[in-house]
Amino acid sequence: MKDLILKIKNSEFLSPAEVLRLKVSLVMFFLLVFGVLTIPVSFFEDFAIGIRILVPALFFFLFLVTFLFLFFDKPRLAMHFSIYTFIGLTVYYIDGAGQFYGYFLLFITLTIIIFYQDISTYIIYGGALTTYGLYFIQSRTEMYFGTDAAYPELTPLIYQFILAGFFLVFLLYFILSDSINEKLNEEYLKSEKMIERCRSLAIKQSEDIEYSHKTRPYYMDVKFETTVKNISTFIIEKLEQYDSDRPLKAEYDLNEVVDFYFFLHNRDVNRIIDAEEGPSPAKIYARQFSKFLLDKNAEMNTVIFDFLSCFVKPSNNEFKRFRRHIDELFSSKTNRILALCFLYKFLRTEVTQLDKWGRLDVTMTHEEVKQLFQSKQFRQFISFEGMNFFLQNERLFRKHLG
Amino acid sequence: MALSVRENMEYSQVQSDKEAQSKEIFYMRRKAFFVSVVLAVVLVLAVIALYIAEASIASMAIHSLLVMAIIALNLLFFRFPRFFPDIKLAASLTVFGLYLLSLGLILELRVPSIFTILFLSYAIAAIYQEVRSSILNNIALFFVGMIIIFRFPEFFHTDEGITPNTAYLFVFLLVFVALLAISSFILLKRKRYFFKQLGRIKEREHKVIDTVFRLRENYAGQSFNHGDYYDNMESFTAEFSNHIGVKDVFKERIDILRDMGELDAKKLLEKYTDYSIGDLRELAQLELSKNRKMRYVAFQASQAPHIDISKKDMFSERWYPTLNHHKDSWEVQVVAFAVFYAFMKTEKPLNRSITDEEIMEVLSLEEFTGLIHPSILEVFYNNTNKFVEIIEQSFAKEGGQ
Repeated sequence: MKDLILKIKNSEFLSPAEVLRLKVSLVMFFLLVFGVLTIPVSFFEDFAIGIRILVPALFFFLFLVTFLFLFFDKPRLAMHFSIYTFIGLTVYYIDGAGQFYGYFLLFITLTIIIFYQDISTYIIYGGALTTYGLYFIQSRTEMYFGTDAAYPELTPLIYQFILAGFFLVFLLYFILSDSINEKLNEEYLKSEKMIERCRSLAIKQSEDIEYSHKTRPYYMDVKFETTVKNISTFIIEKLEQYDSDRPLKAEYDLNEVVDFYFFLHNRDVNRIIDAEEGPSPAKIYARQFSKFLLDKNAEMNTVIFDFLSCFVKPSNNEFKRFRRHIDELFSSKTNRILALCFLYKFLRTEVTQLDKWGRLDVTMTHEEVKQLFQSKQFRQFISFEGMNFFLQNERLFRKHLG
Repeated sequence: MALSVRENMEYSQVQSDKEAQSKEIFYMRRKAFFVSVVLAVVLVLAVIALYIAEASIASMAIHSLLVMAIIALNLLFFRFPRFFPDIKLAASLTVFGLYLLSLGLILELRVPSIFTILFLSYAIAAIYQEVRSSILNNIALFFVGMIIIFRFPEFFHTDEGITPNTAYLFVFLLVFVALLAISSFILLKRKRYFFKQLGRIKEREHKVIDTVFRLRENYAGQSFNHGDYYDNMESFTAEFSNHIGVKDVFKERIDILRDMGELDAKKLLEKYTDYSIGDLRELAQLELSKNRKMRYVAFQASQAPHIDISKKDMFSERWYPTLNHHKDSWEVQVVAFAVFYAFMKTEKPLNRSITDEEIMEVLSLEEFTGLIHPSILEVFYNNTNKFVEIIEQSFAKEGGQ
C-alpha cells in the first residue's frame, strides 16, 4: 500500500506502461473493496440460488484473471478485464437489485473507464455501457427507478439526459485532451529533433576545428584515452574496496575494455554486433558501448550536451521568449516587414546548410529561400500574408538583402 | 557580472516555467470556450425541465441567470485575455457556480433523479484540467453529495416506495469521488510535468543553437555583423516606401534598433517620445547586437526542412538519456562515467575545463538525478582529490594529441 501511494505521488516520473500498471492495481483495490462490501449484501435480495453462486464466482474469476495479467506484465489486458468485471457488476445490479444503485454504478463504471484515460477504450466500453443504460431506463423506469408523482414524465428524461450528458462531456474532455496532447507532443518533438540536429552539427564542427588546428578529437586523443583508463581503474578498485560482496570484479582486463571502447570509434559498430564470427564478449561490449561512442550523435553526446547546456549563459530576452511566428512576435505590420527582411537576409548570408562533406558551410540561394518561404513547414514562422508580401517584393529582397 | 552555474540554471528554469504556465493558460482559455458551449446546452435543457416541472418564473429566472453568468464569465476570460488574464480564477468560479446551480436544482425539483446533476457538474468542471479547480471540484462533489444524502434522505424516495439505503449511497459516492480524485491527481501531475519538460526543452534548444553560433564565431572566425543587417534593411525599406509612394516609416525604427545597442530604456523613451515602453519592448526583439532572439528564430527556420516528425515518433515512448543502464555491465558503466568525466575536464572547442565543484553542482540538479549509478557517484564524491590528481597526471604526461 505504501509503495502504491509513493507511486501515485511520483506518477509523473513513471512511463506510460508503469502508469497503466498503477491504475490497474488501484482499480483492483477498489474492485475488491466494492465487491466485498456489496456482493454479500445482495444475498438478501430476491435471487435464484444459481445467481447467488454464479455472481460471486464470476466476480472472483474475473478478478483473478485481471490479477494474473497484471502479474505477468500484461497491463493492457488486465485493464480490459478490470473493466469487464465492473461492467458485469453494473449489469448485475441494474438488472437484479436495480433501484438507484444500478444507476449510480453506471457512473462508477464510466469513471473506471475514464480513469484509464484512453479515448478508444472510453468510446467502445463507455459508449456501449451508456447505450445500455439509456435503453434500460427507457424500458424499465417505473419498475426499477420509480417515478415522481409531481412530474412522472420528467424522471426518465432527467436520468437519461444526465447519463448521456456525462458520457458526452467526458467524450469532449477526451477529444480536447487528445488534440492538445498531440499538438504539445509535436512541439516537444520538433524541439527534440532540432536539438538532435544542432548537436550533430556541433559535433561535426568541433571535429573540423580540431583537424584544422592540427589537434585530434577526444576519441583519437591518447591523453584522453589514458585519462579514461586511469579513472576507470581507480573507480573499479574503489568499488571493490567498498563492498567485497558485490560482483564488481571486472571479468576482463579493464585496460583492454577501454581500448576496445576507443577502437569502436569510426567503425561500423553494427557490423561488429551482427557478425556471425568473432568472440561473443566483443559483441556484447560493442552493443553496450555503441550508445556511448563520442563520434556518434547518440546517448553519450546527448548526456554531454545536456550537461554542458547548464554552462551556457541563457538568453536575456524574456519577452515572448519561445515564440517564433512573426505574427505572434509582432503586432505592428512595420515590425513584421522588418522581421521578414531580417529572416531573408539571415537565410541568404549566414551559413546554415551542409556541404557535401556534411559540414555547416553553405548559405541558401534566392531560389531555395523562395521555396522555403512557400513551403508548408514555414507556416510555423510566417503567415500566407508574409509569404505574399515576399513574393510581391521578391526583386527588392534580392537586390538589397541577398 | 557573470552568473554562477546555479544562477544560470535557476534563471533558465524560471523562464521555462513561465513558458509552461503560458502554455497551460493558453489551452485553458480554449477549454473555457468549450465549457461555455456545454453550459449553453445545459441552460436550454434545464429551462425545459423546470418548465415541465412547473417551477415558478422566479426560480427559472434565477437558475437561468446563474448559468448565463457562468457562460459570460468564461467567454470574457476566453475572448479578452488582456483584461481578464487569470483564467484559473474563472475556472474556480465556474466550479463554485456549477455546484451552486446543482444544489439549487436539487432543492427545487426534490426528486432522486436530479441528484446525479452533481456528476454532470463534475464532468463539465473537469474539462479545465487544472489543479486548483480540480481540487475544488472533488471537494465540492463530495461535500454537496454528502449534504444531500445525509441531510435530505427523503429526496431519494419515490412513489413506488423505493428507498435506497443511505449507507450504500455514501459508499457509492465515496468510491466515485475517490476514483475521480486519484485519476485527476495522476493526470494533472503528469500534465504539469510535461508542460515543464516542454519549457525546459525549448530553453535547451536555444542553448544548443548558441553552441553552434559560438563554435562558428570563436573558431571559424565568422562573426555576426549586425550593422550590415541594419544598413541593408534601411535600403530595402527606403526603396519599398518609395515604390508604394508612402513616407518611410521604417527608418526611425531602424535608428531605434541601432540606439538600443547603446542606450537604456529610459534614455530611449526620452529620445523617441512617440513610442511607448510596450512599443519598444516589441521592437527590441529585432535588436541584433545584444539580443539573439531573431537569430534563434532564423536558424530554426533554416533547419525547418530537415526537421521531420513521423507518426511513429509521436507515439513512441519518451526516454531520458543516462549513463546508468542497469542492463549494462559494470565495466561499461564505469568506462562511460570515466569518458564523461574526462570529457568535462578536457579543454576542447566544445567546452572549457569544468571544475569538480561545478560538476557536483550540476549533478545535484533535479533533472540529472539518476544520470550516474549511485555507487560510482559515491566513489566520485568521496575521492574528488584523487580524481583531480589523475587528471593532472594524465595531462602532464608527454605524448598524445
